[in-house]
Amino acid sequence: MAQLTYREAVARGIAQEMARDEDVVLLGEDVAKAGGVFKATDGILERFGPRRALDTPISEQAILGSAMGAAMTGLKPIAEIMFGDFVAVCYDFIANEFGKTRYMTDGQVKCPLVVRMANGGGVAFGAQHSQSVENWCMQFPGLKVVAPSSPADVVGLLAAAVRDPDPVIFLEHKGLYGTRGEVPDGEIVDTLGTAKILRPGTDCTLIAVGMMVPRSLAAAEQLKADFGIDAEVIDLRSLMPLDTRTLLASVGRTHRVFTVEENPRVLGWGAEIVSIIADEAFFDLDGPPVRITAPHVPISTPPHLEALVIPSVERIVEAVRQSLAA
Amino acid sequence: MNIVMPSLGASVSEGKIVQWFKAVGDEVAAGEPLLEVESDKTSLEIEAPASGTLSEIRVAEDDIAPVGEIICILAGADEQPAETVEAPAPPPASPTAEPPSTEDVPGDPAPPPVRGRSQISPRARKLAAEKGIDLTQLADTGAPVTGADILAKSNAVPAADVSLMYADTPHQRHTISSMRGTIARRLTEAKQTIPHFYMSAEIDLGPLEQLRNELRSKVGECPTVTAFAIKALAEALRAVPEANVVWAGDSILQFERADIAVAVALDDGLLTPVIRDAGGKTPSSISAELKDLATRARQGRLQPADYEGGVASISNLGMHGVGRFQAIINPPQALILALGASERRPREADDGSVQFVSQMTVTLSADHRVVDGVTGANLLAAFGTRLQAPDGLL
Repeated sequence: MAQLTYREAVARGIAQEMARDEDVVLLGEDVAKAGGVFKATDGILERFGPRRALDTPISEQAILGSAMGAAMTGLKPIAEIMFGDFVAVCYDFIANEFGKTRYMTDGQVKCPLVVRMANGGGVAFGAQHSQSVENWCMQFPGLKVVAPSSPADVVGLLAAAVRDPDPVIFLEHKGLYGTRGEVPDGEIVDTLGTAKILRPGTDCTLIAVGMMVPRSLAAAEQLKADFGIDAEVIDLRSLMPLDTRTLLASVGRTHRVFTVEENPRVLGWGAEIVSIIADEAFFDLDGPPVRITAPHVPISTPPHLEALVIPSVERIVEAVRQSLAA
Repeated sequence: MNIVMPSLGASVSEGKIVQWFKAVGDEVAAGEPLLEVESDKTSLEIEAPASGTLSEIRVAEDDIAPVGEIICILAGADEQPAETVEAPAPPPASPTAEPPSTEDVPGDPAPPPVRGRSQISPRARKLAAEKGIDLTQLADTGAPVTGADILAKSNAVPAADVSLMYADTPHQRHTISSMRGTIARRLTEAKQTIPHFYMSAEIDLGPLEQLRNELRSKVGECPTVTAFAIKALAEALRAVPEANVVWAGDSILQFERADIAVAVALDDGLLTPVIRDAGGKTPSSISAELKDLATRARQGRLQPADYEGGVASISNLGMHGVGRFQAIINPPQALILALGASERRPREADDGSVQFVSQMTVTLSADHRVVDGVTGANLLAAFGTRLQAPDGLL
């Protein structure tokens, strides 16, 4: 067992898979010599050499295009898009290519690649470098979308993503790179499409991903201490496939549900989850499902204004308290 | 001051004037009863919100007015009720609320709290429907109604009432075991939902006693009376196939063999293991199987396959000295046969003399949804004939 930062866990996960399988390669802007702008790929070039760790030009289309070609011809590339926001530059691959290849070739051509992106805010990078793009990716059939919140989950889910025969979008959270957690020794391989109940509770369910997970856990502790509200906290970990069984079972126990989302309110992933719960667990509900989200505004750059946009522990506590008291 | 028809509760849109306590021209003091109104749910007295003269009555006794309509006018009353005025009329609504259209009204009164659909949760609605709880009978606490409220109402209240009733009587409290809970639920359901009817017959046990004595002396052991009765009931169901049925909700299932369940008493309840195709087995094999099932039942080792299904049950309390009794059908079965004790009873013989014979009274309980009286009588007769000629059962 070792204490690793989230960014060290990314490098460890990549190294674990590159050591296991020679077909796994890493490419992206500054991922090799510089060890990544977030230092999340530190040491990969030194260990695996320039043939398998490639610095690319500043062209997101070139990165994803070459990754797709490599994947179709037998490699298992891990491509990095430095900021999730930039995926818009190369969106054709996400929207039209990766997830459709296997289907359109009747399974003759597969696309086993992973696209890593630094997602989300909390580090005052402004409106074009702080967005949460889960819902930009999860709407396309054929794509899987993973968003870990802890170092151990980073290693295990990254390994599962690399080994998956289909394209996987892997959303690392910028605001979590410096956070630490216990990571077991040895090889770690997790399962895509599984949520985790991080804190059992009886009064309501908080559903979160990424940086909203630690904030929801802190909110749950505060709700318990100050208001006697016992909240269950679920880390989705995977948005596609979605572990609806765990979510619905939790709603069946607590009868109240809150999504905690960093993305703007309109069409956030929480809307999809609330819709599923309304379809399948309506008569388990003791009150309206509540989405705690960023407002529908561009994210501010100054830290004190950014903090007003992204749901804080205090906002989560207040939303839950008010809704349960109503 | 305009006095309007008050809100008489959620989903009530109009009220009827039962009686005016004051006539036009009367002086009225603040807090004095002015009139009585009623709806289909409640009735209440309305007090004058302020002192003044009743200058006009707009809605006569026995007439109906919609909630919010002006029913009378109090002249000389302060537009703003004085501090000394008692809060008029009971909640939920203020009868003094003035319609917003009148001239110099400072502001709209707050709408009365109404428990709308949105304040009863979907889960609470579902649970209330399942448990037969009338949502309009819930106390209005102002808070939304949740599933927990319904569960509290359906479970806790009656249990608490019973405990309260015996609070002064020395007693021990036992929790309900899962078997006891199941028995309580299934038999309550059976007695409430299955239209039972009952018929009894006397059965001569002389031939059976003679046969069992012979077997005992020849073979050393013999099947129990219950085993013979199971075999006889199975044969009777074969002879009266219209009784070999169960009610399946939207259809009737008629069986091609007779699976007979037997009530086995345990220390803390009972189980009813099933002898499959009892008609195809001999009394001695039924007796052996019954012994095995009863042993395993008492050890708690029965599997669902051992006690599920069956068309009829047999319950024998004869060995406990019970002369006759009526049993509750074990759902989803349609029949249960209750066996009483063997008794020596006087009977008039062919020559007019009195002889004593061994007899047992059996009582059939039948589900009238699928078995009619004549069918039950035929089954009982077929059962008696066979048990009184037991050689044919071997």
